[in-house]
Amino acid sequence: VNPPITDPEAAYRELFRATYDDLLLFVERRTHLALAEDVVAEVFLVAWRRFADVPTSRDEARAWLFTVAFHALRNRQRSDRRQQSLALRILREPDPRAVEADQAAARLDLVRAWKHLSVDDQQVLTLTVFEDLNGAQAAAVLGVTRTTFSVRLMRARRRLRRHLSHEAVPPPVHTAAVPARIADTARTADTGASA
Amino acid sequence: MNSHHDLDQAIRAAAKPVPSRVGRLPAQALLDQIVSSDPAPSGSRRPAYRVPAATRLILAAAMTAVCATVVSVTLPATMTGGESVAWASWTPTPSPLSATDATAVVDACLADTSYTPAEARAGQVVGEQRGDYAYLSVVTSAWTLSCFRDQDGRVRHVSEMVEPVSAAALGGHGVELTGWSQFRAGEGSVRLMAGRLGADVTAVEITVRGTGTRTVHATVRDGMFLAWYPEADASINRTLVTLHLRDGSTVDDLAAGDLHDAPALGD
Repeated sequence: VNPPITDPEAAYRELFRATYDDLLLFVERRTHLALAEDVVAEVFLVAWRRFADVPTSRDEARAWLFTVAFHALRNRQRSDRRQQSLALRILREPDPRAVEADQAAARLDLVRAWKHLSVDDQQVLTLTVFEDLNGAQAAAVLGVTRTTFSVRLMRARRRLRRHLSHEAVPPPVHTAAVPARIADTARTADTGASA
Repeated sequence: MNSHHDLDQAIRAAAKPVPSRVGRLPAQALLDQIVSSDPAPSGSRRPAYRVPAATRLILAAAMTAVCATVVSVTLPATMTGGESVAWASWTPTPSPLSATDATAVVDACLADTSYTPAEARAGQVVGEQRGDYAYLSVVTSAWTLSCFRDQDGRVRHVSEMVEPVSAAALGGHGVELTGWSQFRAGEGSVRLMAGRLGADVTAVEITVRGTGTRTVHATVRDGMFLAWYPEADASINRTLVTLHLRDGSTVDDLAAGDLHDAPALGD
């Protein structure tokens, strides 16, 4: 049993300070920059109101916040077509190890290859590479099993490598995921079971 | 760039660095505003203590939709006991899912994914009902998607797989497991299976060996199959798949976990 928290406000302030930058980057990678701070505020308010549910481990708490943010973004995307199927931005926290000038060409290739990926591929790679989540945490954010996440990650890496070696491939056309009824009832008319 | 590590490093190196902002005024104002607000505005103030680790594990498993209000936690039933209450209406043999229900489930499920109705219309749907629960799979040439409707009517997409094996590769008695997920439903954990079958497969039986043995009959239609069962503890269960072929013979005891890793291709 975890020890009781004697000062929830202090603990919350510590969590906020430790995770604010990561959460803001998580959101900025996935939505319009102008909306990012609103989403972050929404997520931290949820965390305050449900503080008893937030894991004590900093790593797990961070993953918990990402999961709340992911769902908050998805809810917004459902009601705002402009936000649907946005490509993910590749942003990161500052790195003291500066990238050498002679790597600029490689960076350009990578950025081009990234644009060829589907949003779903960008999503799994971002959760792993930038958000540094383990398989279980990333699977929980997406609401899929760990196995499913592993398969998606493997295929995303494979496709990114392929695009890196074939720069001539045109970027895909991202279609919006618009919730709508399935009009072709003929396809779903007979869903009978046989045992 | 042969290893995952190298590729991940290359992605990071290509990213645009963004400076820290937690120390800036907007962040500090937000923090002060939040901690000065009522943490339980609905009137049901939560205790300011941490829940025990074991309980938190269950909460974490239920966090596929964190925005939903979690009022209580149902403890997982065991394979031999407890299900009589938690899964009272579940049946080992499925019944058909009506076209209306299937359409409604697909509708709700797509809203939870990046797939479009147009893409789904190009595929096929196979569904089943076991008591109060509905389960179906949408299969296209490019992807498969499985969706579960819980007792409370909530629909969630529970698994998906891209680039399924071709029908030609499955041959007469091949089988590919496109869905093999453990999922936390309202009454506890369930194991959901979905797959594609060779042309000569007419029926599929699932045998679950744990503290007891249970046989689950799958829905089979148009080269696809579906089945699911309550599964409290996956670590003690061994799930085997038996294929019944058109000529009356069977392909016995295929381990489901192995099939998910690599399909069994037929002649």
